[in-house]
Amino acid sequence: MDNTMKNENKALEKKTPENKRKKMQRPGTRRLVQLYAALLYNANLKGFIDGHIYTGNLKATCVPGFNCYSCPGAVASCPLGSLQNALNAAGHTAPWYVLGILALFGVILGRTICGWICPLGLIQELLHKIPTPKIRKSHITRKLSYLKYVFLAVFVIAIPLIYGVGQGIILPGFCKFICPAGTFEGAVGLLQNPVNATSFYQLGAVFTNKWVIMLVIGLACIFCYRSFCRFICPLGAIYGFFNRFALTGVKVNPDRCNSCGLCVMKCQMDIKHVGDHECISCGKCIDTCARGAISLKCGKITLKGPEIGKNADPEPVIQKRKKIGRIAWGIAIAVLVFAVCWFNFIEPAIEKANEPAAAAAVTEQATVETGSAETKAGSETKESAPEEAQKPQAVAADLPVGSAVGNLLPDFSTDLLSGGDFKLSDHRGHVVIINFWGTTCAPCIAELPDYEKLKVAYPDVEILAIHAKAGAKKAKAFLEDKGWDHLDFATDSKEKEIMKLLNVSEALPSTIVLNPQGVVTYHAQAPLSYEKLEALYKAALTDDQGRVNGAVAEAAPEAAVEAAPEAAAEATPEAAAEAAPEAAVKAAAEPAANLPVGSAEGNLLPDFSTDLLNGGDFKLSDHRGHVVILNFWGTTCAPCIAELPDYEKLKVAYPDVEILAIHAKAGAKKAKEFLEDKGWDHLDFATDSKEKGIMKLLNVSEALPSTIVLNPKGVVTYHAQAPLSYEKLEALYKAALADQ
Amino acid sequence: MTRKKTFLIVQSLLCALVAGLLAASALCLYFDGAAKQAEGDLFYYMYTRERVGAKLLPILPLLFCAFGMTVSGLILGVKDENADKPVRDEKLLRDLGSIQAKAVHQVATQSELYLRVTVIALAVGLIVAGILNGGLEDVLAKGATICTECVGLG
Repeated sequence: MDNTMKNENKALEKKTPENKRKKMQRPGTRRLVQLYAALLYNANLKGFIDGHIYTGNLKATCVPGFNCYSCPGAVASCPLGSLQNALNAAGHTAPWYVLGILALFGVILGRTICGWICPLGLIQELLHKIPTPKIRKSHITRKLSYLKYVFLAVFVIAIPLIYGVGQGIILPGFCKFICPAGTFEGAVGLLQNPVNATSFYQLGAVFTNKWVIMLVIGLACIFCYRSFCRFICPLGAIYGFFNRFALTGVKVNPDRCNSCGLCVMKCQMDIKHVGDHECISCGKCIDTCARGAISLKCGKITLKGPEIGKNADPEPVIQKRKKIGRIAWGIAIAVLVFAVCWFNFIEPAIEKANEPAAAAAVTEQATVETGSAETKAGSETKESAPEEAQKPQAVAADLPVGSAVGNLLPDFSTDLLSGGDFKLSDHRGHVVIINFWGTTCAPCIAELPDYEKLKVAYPDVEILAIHAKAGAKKAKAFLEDKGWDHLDFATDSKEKEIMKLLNVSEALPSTIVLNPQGVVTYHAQAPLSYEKLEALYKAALTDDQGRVNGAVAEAAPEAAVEAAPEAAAEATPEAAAEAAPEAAVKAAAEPAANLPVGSAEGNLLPDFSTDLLNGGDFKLSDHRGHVVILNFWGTTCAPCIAELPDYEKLKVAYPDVEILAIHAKAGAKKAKEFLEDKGWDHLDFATDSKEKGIMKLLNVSEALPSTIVLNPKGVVTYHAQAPLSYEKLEALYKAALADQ
Repeated sequence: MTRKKTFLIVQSLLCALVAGLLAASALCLYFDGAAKQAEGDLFYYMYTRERVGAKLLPILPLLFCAFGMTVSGLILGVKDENADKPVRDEKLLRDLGSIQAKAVHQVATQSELYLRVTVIALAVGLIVAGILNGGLEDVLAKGATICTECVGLG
């Protein structure tokens, strides 16, 4: 490059629109387009609020950029995820559709997609804005840029093909092991919503690995421009193949170009030439080129051209381009507004979603009515023939209808793929396991052999595997050679009626285990091993015994107080005592007696007493002068079991604290059996009555675990439904002790 | 060392620290959970909202600090000045050759045009074939359920 050219370029550099904009700190057109694309791709904004993904028909198409289809806002599918999925299924369905879409995007837009309409590109560029020392491109980064082809070949093509076609295992390698968009948009997007709290239970090695990878990539992007895009992104690699002949992209006018190389030297991507496979057509070089040789074109239409310098486009042309640009923006904004309105308020899928909810309500009503009838029948039978009273229906009828643990699952019926039908209520008296799976869900396919094994080992268990999507033909074809002959298979309807009725998340696999009474003992979105399934089956079987024993053998705690929770919350100590004669409220005599009685923080907790599992009884008012912790747990509640060792540890460390762990369901026998080998000898255990007298009195939610901490005066200092770590427990204990 | 340089270094250390702590928290939760599961507690959940919250809480002040520094840096216009300068990597520049000859030209050559039309026709054909062979339904089926692998759940 000679000196004249250098000087020409330097002089021009000061005048570029880019530099002007920098001074004003205004986002440029490209940034606005990037934001626009990110918003359009994720127009289902209500998904971020309700924690559910969009499931409408538009998901059959792909967006051009990198955008996880499990992001709550996503309105279309991710092209790379779809490609892997298609390659996985290449054994029975050729991946023409996704390949066609990618080719079409590639030939029309090329890597302009990366530079202008990829949300992940936007995130990377924003991260790079963080003011830190930057790593500039070099011959090393150029070599690293070929790494993305390795990722494409290994993770996107080889792994899905080898596992999918060769072994019938669904394994989208890139999605599962690397994709930071999935971790950020999908996992974080879904998990931030309390609705998906149970999805946390599924997290394990895969998530940890992906989380760390996401952080490393994010950190790299801060220091090194578009690190993911340059070194890893397989989608960029695919579009790169089309870049040289793509309709849209940065093009050079050879008549004006003098090969000074400034465009390449100033470009932050690892390009060798303008418009090559690394060029994302961001258009920065247009402002860099002193000779006005570069422009962004779509066919013959110039989208962005030189506006300064001796070769600048004529003023009328620039004005015309700006006018067209303004019209295009107007149309684009109208499209965005329409998309937001459509996906959040109008989309037919929303109406469909409400219909099953109404159906569910009707079913729940019907089941409750049936349940009441059953209760009546059960109680009559109990009087006349005690052995008959042990029928499961007798106990479950009082329970709320729902799909949470401890609820009575709403009845439903569905056609089986093998012929005949499955009606849930016909299977009362057996443990029922309902599994939701999909042919495209790798963990689902991996766990189904374990269900088959369980059914073979315990023929008494009823297992219904529901294909989460409509399409009996496809499910049948998939199952043809699997040999899972002992399982009952069905498909859900197109509107996912069963899933909606049973409140099953879109995250597969999902499993619901019912005890012989039809009561939910387990409901989570997590793959299960054979050992876990066996443990769940046995727990559900025992749960039935526990309930029956609790109901018939009068195992309910004698002193369970049956006062209404609202009365407990509002009543004075005297009123509470009146409402619950057996609950002698000592508060009147205590210094804290002027406090309202209730279970909220700052209230005086109503007194109660209950039998302990290891003999003796526990009367709350007897423990005034000590910090008391009341923990409500269940044998089928994993977080409860997980936190109990911490209570034991606390009791050992601080013997002065009184801890009462109340099993939220009746059934002393079951609780005792469960606790037998746990070694939690320092804790006091009790069970609530069948009518949940203590829980109602103390206004404790059904969501377990629940914990109430009382200070030495019997005043509530903490009341929440959340598992507690040792540290938190210790802090709560110390706070309660200090709160006198 | 200038104040600007110090700012940039402190900011980069802060970013690295936040990322490191976030990664370490996840690893702690994972290894704790793995140990519990190895002890035979089949239903021990490595991650729960509560545990994650407890791990994230101490990192939040650092995160806010890094965010605050970023905002103030952007307002004050603090940045690595070298980032905008043309690269001077000899090995890199050696490969450049004639930009004029090798760059993608404004007017597509005849062969490029043919290739473009062929690929468009092929792509449309593939899409139609894909719709007919059920590929479209496959994409819908995958997209309409939460991809557990994608989000790191599976």
